[in-house]
Amino acid sequence: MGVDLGDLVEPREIELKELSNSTIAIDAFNTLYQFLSIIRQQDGAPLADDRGNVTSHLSGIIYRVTNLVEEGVKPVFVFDGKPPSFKAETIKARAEVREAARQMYEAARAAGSAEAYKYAQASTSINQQIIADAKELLGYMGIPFITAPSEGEAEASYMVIKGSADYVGSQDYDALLFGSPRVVRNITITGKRKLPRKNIMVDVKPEVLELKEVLSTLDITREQLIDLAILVGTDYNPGIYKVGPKTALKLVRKHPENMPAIFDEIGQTVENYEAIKQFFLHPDVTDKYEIKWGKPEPEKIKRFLCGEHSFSPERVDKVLERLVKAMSETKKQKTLSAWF
Amino acid sequence: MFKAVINAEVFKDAIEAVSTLVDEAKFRLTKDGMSARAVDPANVAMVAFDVNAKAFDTFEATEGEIGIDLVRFMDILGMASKDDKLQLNLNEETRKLEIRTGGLAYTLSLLDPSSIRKEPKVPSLELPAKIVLNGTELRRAVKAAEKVSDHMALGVQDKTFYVEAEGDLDKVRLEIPESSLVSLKSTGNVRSLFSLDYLNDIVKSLGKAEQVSIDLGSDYPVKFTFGIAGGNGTVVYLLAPRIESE
Repeated sequence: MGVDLGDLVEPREIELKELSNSTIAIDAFNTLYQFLSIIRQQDGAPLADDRGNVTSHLSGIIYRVTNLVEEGVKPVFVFDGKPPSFKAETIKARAEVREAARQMYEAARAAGSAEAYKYAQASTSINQQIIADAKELLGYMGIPFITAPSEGEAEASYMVIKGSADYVGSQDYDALLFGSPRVVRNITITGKRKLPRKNIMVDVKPEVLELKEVLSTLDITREQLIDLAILVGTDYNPGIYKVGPKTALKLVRKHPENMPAIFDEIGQTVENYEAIKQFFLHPDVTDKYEIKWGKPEPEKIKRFLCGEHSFSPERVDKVLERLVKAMSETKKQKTLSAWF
Repeated sequence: MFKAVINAEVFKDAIEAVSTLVDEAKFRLTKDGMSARAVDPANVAMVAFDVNAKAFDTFEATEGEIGIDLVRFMDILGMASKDDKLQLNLNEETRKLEIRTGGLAYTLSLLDPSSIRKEPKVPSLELPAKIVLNGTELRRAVKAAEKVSDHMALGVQDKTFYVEAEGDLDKVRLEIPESSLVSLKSTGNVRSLFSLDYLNDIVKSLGKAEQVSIDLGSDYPVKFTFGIAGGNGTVVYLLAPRIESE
């Protein structure tokens, strides 16, 4: 999903510790998708409670968010609100892909095929229950969350532009298109990870991209970057056939901030181009949010995870002990930036 | 260009002041000496390090920057004996630092300075209290505090400098009256709380200094200033406070 700038710009690898004391506006949907698609059993089935409800996202939130807080990271989750109208096609297309994957998964699982895991991942979807559960758990943990008026990534970017947060946390780089000065990837999957379906361990580190550096490296403006993304394909348009990041870069450099000239040259256009571009430049965002890290409520977390969702009480006790300690530390240590 | 000779121990002690906070740093070279500014990854502590060319037996440098992996550098410096001389020579072509000491010749690959975290600006702080004391005393206080807690308060009350740590069960307090300090100036009572994780790193280097000056406020960063390299260099540490629990 989203724009892959990785082919054009090398992100900077950092240590998680460098994000200590940083506020990270996390694209909640992006992160939930990630948890739902990677936290799975061997056969590809997601984690589930006794009643069959999916719990992969809850496992991701309690364990991985605690890891972040322990490193001094201050996460704020930003959920999607109402998608822009021109996203309808993308949403429909994705639903079809997921449905096809779900059918393949059922078949592969019935046949005991190793392909099952792959299809299971592709069939990941988020429903209202998953969102409600995620918000409930975050609330008990004392982790702030916000619901954006429109796209979560746009609101998260706005928060970084305003200085309420230091980074957008997301696996794709769309936040740069929304003008976020900094994006960090991999924060919820940092550490030693097994590659899916392979017996290889890799050391995953957070990766940072800065808008200013991206623009100066590519020698283009933010508007050109948006044009480039639209040519390759964004969440709102499929992209031009056979135009990859490199070709798109050539085109936007040749016709700076002049998409009509580019459309002329390639003999194709992008539906809703103006609307999409305007959306990246001026998305619907709000100032009405409060970022406040609260105190975790261990009893409520236990009742929710162990009582309602069949988590192991021993494991939850352990993580809660870490969470309570980490949350109280986070609030106490000041950083020098307050005095710079 | 950079070419210098210096006593190995003096140099090791100087570099340790930086390596205790960060794993990599950018050193700025001029004809007058070398300097570095670095802030720890969590942005809680910073060090400003300056060594004058006079600290060296010989020192020649043109303006420039070198990025050093301090973990590897300290390993190498650790191989030198106390009274050994250290010869440093920057090979411009290979961008490697040649280090010779006691018959050993090392070649240290340098880091690309642009890959190192940006140097912080040094905030200007007007702090109401200034205490000057022997570094060993402060180190002793930190060691004592560590036995009972993970944080420690530094303060001045009625012309007495005190250090206090309180854990879940135990408490330790050290008071040093003005008469036992080198000097104390304060416009009132002050108190700030600091993480012992950081203080412990900081006193490694500061503990060796004859005189350390502490600038202190209330819930403000503390500033430690002390001399290195026989008075031909200075180190300044700034450490952000912790907020006392509500």
